Amino acid sequence: MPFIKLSNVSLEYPIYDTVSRSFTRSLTRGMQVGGKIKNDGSTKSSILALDNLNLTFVDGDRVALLGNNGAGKTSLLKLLSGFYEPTKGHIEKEGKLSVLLNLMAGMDVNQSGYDNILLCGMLHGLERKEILQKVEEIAEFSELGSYLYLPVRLYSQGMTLRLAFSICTSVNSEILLLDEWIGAGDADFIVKARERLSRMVFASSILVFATHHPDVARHLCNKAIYLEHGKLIAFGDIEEVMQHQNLDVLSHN
Amino acid sequence: MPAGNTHFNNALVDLLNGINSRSVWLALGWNDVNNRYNRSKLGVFWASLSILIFVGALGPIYASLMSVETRVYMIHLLLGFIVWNFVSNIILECSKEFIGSAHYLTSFQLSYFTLLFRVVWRNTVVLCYQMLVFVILALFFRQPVAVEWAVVPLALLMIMLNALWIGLIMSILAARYRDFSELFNNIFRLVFFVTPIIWMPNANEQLNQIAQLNPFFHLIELFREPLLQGNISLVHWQITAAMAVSGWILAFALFARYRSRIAFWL
Repeated sequence: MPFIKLSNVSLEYPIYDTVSRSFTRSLTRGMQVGGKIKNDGSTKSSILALDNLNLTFVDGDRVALLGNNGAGKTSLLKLLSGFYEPTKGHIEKEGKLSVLLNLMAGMDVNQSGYDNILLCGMLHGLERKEILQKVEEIAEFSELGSYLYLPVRLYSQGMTLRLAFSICTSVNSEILLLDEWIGAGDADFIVKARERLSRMVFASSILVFATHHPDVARHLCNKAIYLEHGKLIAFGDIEEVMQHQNLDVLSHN
Repeated sequence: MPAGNTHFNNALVDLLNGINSRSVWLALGWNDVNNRYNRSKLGVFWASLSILIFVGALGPIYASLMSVETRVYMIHLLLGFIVWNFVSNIILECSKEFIGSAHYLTSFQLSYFTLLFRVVWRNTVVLCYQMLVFVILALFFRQPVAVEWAVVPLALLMIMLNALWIGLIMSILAARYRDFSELFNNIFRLVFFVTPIIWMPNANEQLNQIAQLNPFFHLIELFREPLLQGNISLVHWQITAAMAVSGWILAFALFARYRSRIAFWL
């Protein structure tokens, strides 16, 4: 069974290129967003992006990650993906994992749509055979037709997004890490896209989804985490967390 | 488990994942080669053509300047230049790879070694195209074929092993200290001139001694000597094998120690 377990996990970004220490000191005063900037008086300063998290995700958990800009949502996703290792504590995880942080990841605009399907599929860890089985379906969903034989740099922005979205959502994994990227293409496509996204999410076992949209969060998730300055403020049923944090009032685009 | 042990295990897992994700680095590396010559009519053959132009123009002049037989000098220059490009490009490109491919690391479950293998692979493709020029020159000059040529793939493997451990160290250093890749760019430009590529190591005793002290000379000779002279000197193999073993121990220890920090430096 796929699971993720975080025990006393902290993530601290070192700062290597600060202008001066007085600069970081002046930053730490009165800030509304971001993790805590630490300056311990030595030459090293750092940002405490995630502060002592204890969390367990199990099969069936579809978790919305909520919080202001800089609360640590993306940091947590990058930590779960394995890009960062925790600077304190440890993470145990099991299950095939896919990261969809950036819709356009791995796309090469000089190559054709079909070549991009192959390339991105491989980067997502699919075997060539698996990708070839999916190519037709991806092509059909993107509705790009013979444009798929042309280099992506000739596509409009909307067409590129369609292709990227169709590729990303063809990945099936047990654990899905999603950063916010809803709303690709024109109105017709958005409806199709949401449907396809839901299908992918419900086929997975665990979802962790960073978002600012309460509606989308409600639609896809059954649990929620609320982060503030890297600290875990609430974790539980999505309705309770949202009510507790008055998120409907705070909702913004 | 003690911390050092986990570090080592994670580094080993990284290496194994790199080896296992062959399809990824083969595809990425091949894509890099295509992109470099994108939309040009000759495509990757430009890699062959540009080295042919270089050797074809420089070879006859320098051969007479140094009073060396044209055939010997041109093949000496060609093979030396190909191997030098291979080694120095791998090392310098490795030093930029983690920084330049940070977006791949954040978006996919890629190991660091996957990216390094991609660099080696794309340079191997270029080397193969450049070796077409050797075929042309060998036919033109009626270079005698020798059984010793069979050792060339093995020599290439040894060269790769050595280039990769230097590249691994560079990639870590350059991620942490950005000045390193510029610094080594400059150093390598100089090393080129002290390595017997455009000059002959056997011209006099002094030059020969300088060459013997240069590790890049031994790497080049692994590949050049059998093709040019139909001869295999054990000493080059002994030195480069020793370099590979000690280098990999050093590089891997460094990688194991700092692997978890690299992400923070990107």
